[in-house]
Order: sequence, then C-alpha cells, then structure tokens
Amino acid sequence: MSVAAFVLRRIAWAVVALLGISLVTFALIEVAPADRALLALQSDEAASTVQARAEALRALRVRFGQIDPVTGEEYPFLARWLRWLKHAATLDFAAASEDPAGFARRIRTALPVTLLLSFLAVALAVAVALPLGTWLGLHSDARLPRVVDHALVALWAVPQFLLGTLLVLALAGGFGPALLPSGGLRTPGATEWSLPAQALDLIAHLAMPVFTLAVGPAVWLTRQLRESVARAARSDFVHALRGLGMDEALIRRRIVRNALAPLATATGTLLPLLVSGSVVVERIFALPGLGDLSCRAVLAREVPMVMAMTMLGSVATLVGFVVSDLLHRALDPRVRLAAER
Amino acid sequence: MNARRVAWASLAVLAGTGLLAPFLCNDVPLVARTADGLRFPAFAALRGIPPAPPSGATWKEWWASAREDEGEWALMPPWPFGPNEVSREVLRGPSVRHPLGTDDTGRDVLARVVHGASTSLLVAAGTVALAGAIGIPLGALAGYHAFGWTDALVLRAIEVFLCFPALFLALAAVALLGGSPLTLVLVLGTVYWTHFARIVRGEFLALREREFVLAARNLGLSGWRIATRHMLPQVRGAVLVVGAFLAAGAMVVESSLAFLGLGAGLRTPSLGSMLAQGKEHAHVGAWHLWVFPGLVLTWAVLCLHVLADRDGLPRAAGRTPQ
Repeated sequence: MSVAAFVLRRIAWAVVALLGISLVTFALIEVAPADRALLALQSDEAASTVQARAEALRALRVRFGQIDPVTGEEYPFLARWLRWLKHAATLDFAAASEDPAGFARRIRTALPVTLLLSFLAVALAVAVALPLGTWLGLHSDARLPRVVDHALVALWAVPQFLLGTLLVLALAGGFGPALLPSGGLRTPGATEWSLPAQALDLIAHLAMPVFTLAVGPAVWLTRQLRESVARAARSDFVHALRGLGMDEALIRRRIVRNALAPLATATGTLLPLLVSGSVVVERIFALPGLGDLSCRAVLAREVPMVMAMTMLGSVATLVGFVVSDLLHRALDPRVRLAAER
Repeated sequence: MNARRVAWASLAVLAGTGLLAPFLCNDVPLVARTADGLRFPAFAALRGIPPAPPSGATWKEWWASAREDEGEWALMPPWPFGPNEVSREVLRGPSVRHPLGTDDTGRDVLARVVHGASTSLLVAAGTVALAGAIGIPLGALAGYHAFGWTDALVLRAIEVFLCFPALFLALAAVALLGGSPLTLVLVLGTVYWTHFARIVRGEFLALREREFVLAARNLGLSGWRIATRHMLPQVRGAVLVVGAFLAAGAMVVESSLAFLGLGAGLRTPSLGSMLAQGKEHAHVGAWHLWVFPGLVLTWAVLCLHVLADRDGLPRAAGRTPQ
C-alpha cells in the first residue's frame, strides 16, 4: 500500500515537472530568433515568386498553428502552449508537425538504436564493475588496487567526446589501418549478407560507441561498489565472524552480498545519464538514434519533435529515479520510502 | 605533495591565466601611445571588437610602422598572438614561434588554448555560483526547518528539477539562442542547484542536533544568526565537494556542445571546438590541434574530480550531473 502511495505521489509530482519542462522548452523555442516556418519554406522549391512565397509561408504558419487561419493574426504564446498540451495529453505529439506521417516512424526507427546502445553500455559497465569493484574493495589497502583506482579516476576525467575521438583516430584509420568502421550502424548493402556476417558487421559498428558510452558508468559503478565493499569489510559483523573462526571465503561472500544493494540503486540512476550521453556518442559515431534525432530537430526548429524528445528524456530520468528508489527498498529492508514515514 | 595540493595549484594557475587571458595572449597592445594620446586597446577589446588602430589594418601593422621619434610606442601582451588572429602559417606543427603550432586558418594554438580554457572556466564558475546561490540557501532553509512546510516545498521543487534533462536543455538553449557562455550558465545553474540543496539540507539536518547549535539556541540567538554564523561554516567541505563536481560537469557540457558545433560563436574560442577541428585535420598529421586542448581539458576535469573526491567518492555523485 505504502509503496503504491509512494509511486503515485512521485507520478503526481512528475506531471508537475513535465508541465514545467514543456513550458520552459516551449519558451526557449519562442524566444529563439530563427523562424520555423521560414526554415521550412527554404526546402519548398514550388514557392518561386514573391506572391507564391507569401502564400506558402501563410499556409505553413497555419499548419504549424502559429496564426489564426481566418484573421491571420498570430496566436499568443500561452495559447499555442495550451494547444500543444491538449494534443500531448492524448499522446498526439505529431500534431502541427512538418511531417505528421513520418513523425512516429522516425521515432520508431531511432528508438531501438538508442535502446540497444544504452542496454549494451549498461551491461558492459555492470559486467566490468562487479568483479573490479569487489576486488578493489576487498583489497583497498594493497598497492596494485590503489594504482588501478587512481587510473580509473584519471580515465573518468577524459570527456566522452574526447574518448570517442581518440578511439576513432586510433582504430578507425586516423593514424593507421582502419580496424573498425568509424561511424554508422551498418555497412551499406549489408542487408544482403548472411545472418552471421550481418551480426558481425553490427558488432563491429557498435564496439566503439558502446565502449565510449560505458566507460563513465563503469568507473562510477566500480568506485561505488569499492566504497560499499570496503565499508562492509570494516563492519562489526565481519570482525565477529572472523573471531568465530569462519572461513575467509565465506566471510567474503557475506561482505559482497551486503555491498550489492547500493550498486543496484546506482544502476537505476544511470538511465538518464545514458539517454543524455547518447547525444554526444551518436553524433560522433553517426548513429541514427534518439540523440541524433533530437539534435537534428533542434537545429531545424522542429518544435513538435523537440518537445517530444524533451518529454521522452524527462520521463526516462523520472523512471530511473523511481526504479532506483524501489530497488533500494526491495534490496535493503531497513530503507523506508518517504511516503512510509 | 599530495594530489589535492596539485589539483588546487593547477586550478589556480588555470584560473589565473584564464582571468588574465585577454592581457596575456592578445594581438592588440595593452598600452599604445599614438598621435592622439594614450590608448588601451586590450582593455577596450573586453567590451567587444578592439578599437581600430590609427593607421594600418591591425595594431601590429601600426606598431611596425610606428614613428618612435614622435613618441609613438606600444606595450604588447607577453604572448603577442590573439585567439582569432589569422595568418598565412596554416597547420604548422609546434615551432619556436608557435610552441603549440597553428590551426587551419593560421591561428596560434597556444593563444586559443588559453582563451578556450578561460571560456570553459567562466562557464564552470558561473554555473557553480548560480547553482550555489539558489541551492545553498534553499537547502539550508529546508534543513533548518526540517519536516516543516518549507522543507516539503523545497523537497518537491528538488524532485521536479531532478527530472530536467540538463544536457538536452542546454543543447536546445545553445542551438536556439546562440551559445553565449551566459546562456549556458543560466540553463546549467537552474538545473544543477538541486545538488547543492540536497547536500546542504542533509548536513543541516545532522547539525541541528549538535550541542553547539542547542547552546546557541539557548543563548537566545536568532535563527538567522545560528544558520548563517554557526551552521553554514560547517558545511564548507560538503559545498566544496559538490561545487568541484558540478564545475567539472559544466566544463564537460560546455566543451561537448562546442565539439558538436553548437557551442559558442566562431569568435569565442572553446576547447571543444578546437578538438572538433583537430579531429577533422588528424589525417594530415596535425596532432597538435587536438592533443593540447585535450590535455588541458582532461587535466582541469581531473583536478576538479580530485577535489570532489572526499573519502574516495564524490558524495554528490549520488545522482551524477550531465
């Protein structure tokens, strides 16, 4: 009951947050100097004469919901936002879009790319962090683990875009032979190949982006785990077990089990990090995912797409937080959610 | 020397050169004695385009033909190259004249690195200042009146702002409004304040129960005085950790956006846009274009992480920025 109350309360506040975010984004687009209708007109070759241009511009403005179709007067800012809100409430984000038919299709083709990228990156990060963090935490006073820890901190300081660029330069032909493709998701014409060849092609294309995206979370998770393992190793029950003469291997297992709860929580909060991180990685490696899509939408002043992407990113952030709170509670019975107090 | 000292020293050097960048690396004189009297072009340039020289296309040309017998002289900055001063020496590697080489329009890389680091640090400092100005008072208020209605209000606000996608909002703002450092500071500051508020609230919550606060209260001191004079100084360490962590985040966001070509305008040098340029020219062997800005950026972020690294892990990292 109380968990349900907690989730419901979080959702209620999330709605407030989403309203605020959409208003802020709408206002940002509003004060921007460039005009969306003018930008769309540039790609319209039919409008050659001055008369035709004015007509086409007016038609575009009506379609984008910028002006009143009868009087030609511009709608006020709040009216336009409320109209967007009305459509968004029914999940109709494509309303007044440049390309309503292709709107859903573009998101549908981009979503799997980002999901695949994020999933692989999180999986890689967890796979590295689990053994490495445990090892570092169990031997936190030894020399080699401390050196490794410092190396991890140094690696963490390399910005994602720099790491991606270095990888491209090193492995995709910047300095020497091109071992891996420098960008894109698949080799052109790969759809004709046999299935194993296609899979290999996909792996080769995703290796560098996944690695670039995984480094930050991997270092972060490793150091989280190192801390909690080291803390658990210092706690009283470990001394007690050791005093009772328990086998070291068994004690170690109890330490690790105690240290795992914070890791699960930390993984939940990675979700938004990966969504935002994918903008940079997708642009560097020319991957047609959500980050790339939102970047293009912003540059083309495509208001409906920008709004849809903003909402998607915010919802992902929110889900990540709620999931990590719930996970924390499920794994550690001592933790109480705010609604249960 | 321990790592924190090295980090503090490096950041101090970076901040110093960054603050003084227009007077350290510039192609216009600090002081020039012309026929019209004393002029201060490097100072005047802070407000935008530097004033035109009395003769010739650039101040350097004017100085080359200056007549010393008529009392004309100039004091150039110690490194007499501007970040936007083009020349015919295109894509040269490091040399005595240009220790870090030149870029694809013949601009001096050293001058651009110094000015680019200055831009990054400006964004970082501005973001931390704004986030702190919002977050620290709100966190203190919430923590001092813990579990009251102000606390509830602040906590709800934090929950709302936590959902703001910082990088994407910054991206949209920069692409739409043009990437002046001010835009970035406003966006990042209004998103990042929650980190300060959460940590300060937590610290205040613990401090409230301490004896010295009880003693101050029993002495009849006002709540304002207890909070500002007795409790706030105790949270310095936590604030420093969060500040360093957020500064690193802001630097990375600034340079990432510039790298994607969305950052500051063409005239504002940025480490991110230099790296993008370096990537473009890497195949012709112009390694100096990305190595030096990359090193400076990574070193600055590393130093900030070291400062944020209390007890092994940034405490603010409960929910990482970006």
